[in-house]
Amino acid sequence: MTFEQRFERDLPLILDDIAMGPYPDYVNDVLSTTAHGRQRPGWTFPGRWLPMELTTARVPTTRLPMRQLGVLALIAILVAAMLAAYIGTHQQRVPPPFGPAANGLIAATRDGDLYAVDPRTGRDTLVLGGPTKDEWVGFTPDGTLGVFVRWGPDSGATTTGKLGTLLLGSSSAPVFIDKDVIHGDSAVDMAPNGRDVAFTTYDEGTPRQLIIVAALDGSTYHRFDDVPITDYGGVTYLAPNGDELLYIARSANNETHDIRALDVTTGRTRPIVETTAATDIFGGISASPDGKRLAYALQDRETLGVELHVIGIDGRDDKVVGHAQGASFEAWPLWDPQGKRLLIERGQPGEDFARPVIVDAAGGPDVLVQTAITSDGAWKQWAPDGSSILAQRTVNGKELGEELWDATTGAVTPASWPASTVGGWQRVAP
Amino acid sequence: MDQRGLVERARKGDHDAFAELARAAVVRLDRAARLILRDPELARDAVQDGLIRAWRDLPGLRDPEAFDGWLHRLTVNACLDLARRRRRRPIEVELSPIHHPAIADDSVGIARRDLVDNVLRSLDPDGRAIVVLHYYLGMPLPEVAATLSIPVGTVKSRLHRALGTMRIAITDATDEPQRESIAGGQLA
Repeated sequence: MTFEQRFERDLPLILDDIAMGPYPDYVNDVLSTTAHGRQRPGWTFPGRWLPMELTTARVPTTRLPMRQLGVLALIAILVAAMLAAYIGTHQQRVPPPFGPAANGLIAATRDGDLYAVDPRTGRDTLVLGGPTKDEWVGFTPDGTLGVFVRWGPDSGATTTGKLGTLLLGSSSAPVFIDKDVIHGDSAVDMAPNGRDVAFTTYDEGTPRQLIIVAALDGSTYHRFDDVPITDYGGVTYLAPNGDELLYIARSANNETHDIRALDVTTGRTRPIVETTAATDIFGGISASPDGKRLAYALQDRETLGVELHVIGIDGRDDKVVGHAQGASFEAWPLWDPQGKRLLIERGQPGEDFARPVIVDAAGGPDVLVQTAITSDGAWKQWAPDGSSILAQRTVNGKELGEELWDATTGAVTPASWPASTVGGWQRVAP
Repeated sequence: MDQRGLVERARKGDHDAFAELARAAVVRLDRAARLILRDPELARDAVQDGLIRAWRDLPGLRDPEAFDGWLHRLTVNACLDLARRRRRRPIEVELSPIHHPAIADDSVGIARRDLVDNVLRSLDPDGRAIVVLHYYLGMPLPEVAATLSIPVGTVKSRLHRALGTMRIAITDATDEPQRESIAGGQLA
């Protein structure tokens, strides 16, 4: 046995020796505190709104013989060319980056391959296959580029990947931002200019989260080292020009969180919502398509109730929206493309699940979606035309098949294509 | 009653069951927190915070078998929160005297323990947390990565650096024959 091996073998005992101390009888004080403290309802625990480690749930791609690799690559190129030609003949104009658009293709990932699904027919087409492990992120706002992550070799736990771009309507090869910087819980948002992307990554040295803004063709790459983003909430480009990115930061009290905006040109930040020790930001945030309002949820740290708020992007005119009588939890807002309705999750006292509800921001009647969301949460995205919601619920750690929720009736329809992991819904010109 | 039964009762609001779980875990939590924070008062705060969070969030724990790891995670994250909050203030090292050494109480053992102690102090709290989670609490590296919300590659590289620092310190402080006897009491 080497010195190093013996050292590592003995280290637990040495550490135990160093940490030796009297019995921690303060446990009795703790227990008298907890005896009078309330427990949190199941759906409100923080784990459900921390980003999920995508890579831990993925099955490693099996290495294939070289002959099959070549055949698969050839097929992938042919299919990509066919898809490119198909899309090229069907899309002549591009939509504006925010607001309503016509419904295009749906990005679906299966077994490390990228597919594009036509939601009208349910037919899916392989866009990029082969031995690599790829995963859709989504489409650029103009619908011309597909953005995906190519994961690196599986290390048995988490791993890193590169952001890649496919030019839809072209047979050209994918282009990558040549840095291994995407992690399983990175957040990504495409800029309204259709050329840039913002994402979060880890600084390996500290460790801490950083915001990166890069060109999708890899020509520019900027790290915002001085912006202390937290490990959830992601980044969201703000309409109309994408000059600012919204993110969630730790508050000055270091206990709660604030919502701030980062000027991507100057690197300056400004507060939009600042919390005190009594309240905290809960879950995701959503900016209206006109860039003037922000929807977010605020949790009372004493009662644990969660209320939905809408505030002006200048940090003024904060209002509670849609709080139904008796609801104890309303969060996860998502503006519709028209900027009039909010998809939210609503929980009632005593229930360990939440229900998706479409709330009229002007105070009109709610639309109750006929399903339930457990504490595992759900991925959701409005259809570009605002007629429905593409959703994928997770139950007991397992992703269910995709669903379409009718935004008018609340009816739920299982997707007609094979179960996949959804990445986004392409916006195309009306 | 076994731990699983206690966790299931505590999840439903049985505070007596939670008290039994807390008393069984508190010594190990306290020691882990003292190793990470190097300050018994801060460690006490962190363990208290971890246990209060555990009681509050127990209904969200889906797998009762995962209770130990989950409680360790809450406590270690409470430690790191405290450390970050107080980063501007020097953390005083006020470890209590050793009462019952677990390894041979000879001069060589004490020298080795002191060396490790000194090196551990020189690491930042995040680095100490990785060493403590892996070597003291026995977590596999992927679980350490999940606990600290960092990539497993980062965990490996930081652990490698921390162990390297410890080895170098011990190498610098002792000559080769002593190292051999320090490591296991006999030559390899």
